[in-house]
Amino acid sequence: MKVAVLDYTVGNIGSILRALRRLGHETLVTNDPRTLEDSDVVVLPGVGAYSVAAGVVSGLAHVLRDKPVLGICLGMQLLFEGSEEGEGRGLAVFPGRAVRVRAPKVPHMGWSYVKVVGDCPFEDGYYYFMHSYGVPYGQVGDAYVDLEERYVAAVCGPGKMGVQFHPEKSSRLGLRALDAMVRELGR
Amino acid sequence: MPTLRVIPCLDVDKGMVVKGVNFVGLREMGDPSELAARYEEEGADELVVLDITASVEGRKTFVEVVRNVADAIGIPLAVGGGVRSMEDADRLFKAGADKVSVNTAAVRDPQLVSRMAYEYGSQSTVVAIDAKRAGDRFEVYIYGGRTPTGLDAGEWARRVVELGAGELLVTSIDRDGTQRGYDLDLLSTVVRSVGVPVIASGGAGALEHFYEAASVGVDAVLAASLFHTGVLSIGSVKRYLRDRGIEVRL
Repeated sequence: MKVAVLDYTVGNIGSILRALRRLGHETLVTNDPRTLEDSDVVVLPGVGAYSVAAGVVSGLAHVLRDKPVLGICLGMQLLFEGSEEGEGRGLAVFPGRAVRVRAPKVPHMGWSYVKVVGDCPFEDGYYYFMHSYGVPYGQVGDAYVDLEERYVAAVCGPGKMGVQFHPEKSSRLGLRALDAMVRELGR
Repeated sequence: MPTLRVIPCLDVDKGMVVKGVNFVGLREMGDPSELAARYEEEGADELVVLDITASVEGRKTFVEVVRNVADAIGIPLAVGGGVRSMEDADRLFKAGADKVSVNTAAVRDPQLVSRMAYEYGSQSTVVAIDAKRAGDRFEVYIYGGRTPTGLDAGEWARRVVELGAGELLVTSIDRDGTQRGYDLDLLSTVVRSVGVPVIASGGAGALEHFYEAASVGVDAVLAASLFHTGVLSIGSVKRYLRDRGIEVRL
């Protein structure tokens, strides 16, 4: 499949590119509307600061609206309406905003247990998280993770999916989840 | 809540892992990417790779090593050793590091920590603190533990977190290589000073040492030669911790 990884111009997208290639996908890094149109799935990677990424994403909202999109970490938060982390609007595919997470240690870093409750193409288990902001679970969420509060670990809508954890850094289980999500979105 | 992470550390010199590697069944013992892949199989939660070469030539080899290790694994990769500037950090991130750690450079140029946190995020910005007991306090050392700085470890930890560090890698110079156990006083001093995750390093030599570190509130435990020599496996450490009631990923 042809997978476009959105280029926010900041941050480090090496891990997600490596993982997608390992799964046999053709990858490209771009923020050109036509190239995005041309791809099967668009990945919003989990790097950089909210305001910078939100700026790039809003400018491309008209393209992304009709594309299958997978958001990872910050990329998942961009599928919601906004974030306490910074200025800018997300794509508002899902209702809600990211807030600073309440956890014994912030950033919430490491392997936490993800419980799937909705229709996500992957299983419960330990996945790797590295983030300071998250979307409170309740109004929406197809998988959750428990810190001092419960947060959205995944949203699995038709044509739009997001995961707060990093499947590309979650060893074999994560790679399997990434594969399943990209396949389902690209169908 | 996250599990306690068990992290093997590869000290790399001239492209090879040093500190006695004694695995059976590896084609070329000491090859960083083979070891890294093997550790992921055994259940390592993350990997730390440190450049311990001093030469300019060695630096170039090291970037290659990072690239190869990143290609070989699907778990987070933290990289450090000799990072002096934003350009050094960029090079390592580009090669595939998920986190970059700074040590000496953070003391000499604290703004480097802020710049890294701004560009790559706090979650990718690690400050390594090497400390030695000085009476009832702990003093920070730089240049591979050779040069005292006069800085107090707890105060320095607070400072770098304010600057944007999202994780601290804390090594006891007194305990490093002794296998007498982590310096629990040092670790608990740092853990009590900050609200970010802390990785314990220096001195692991037996199963109970990992449990002791977990008990003072660290988030990850690191060891090198203990794993390389096969005295303990990652799996045996994690099973032991689980049996003592610590949540681990098995």
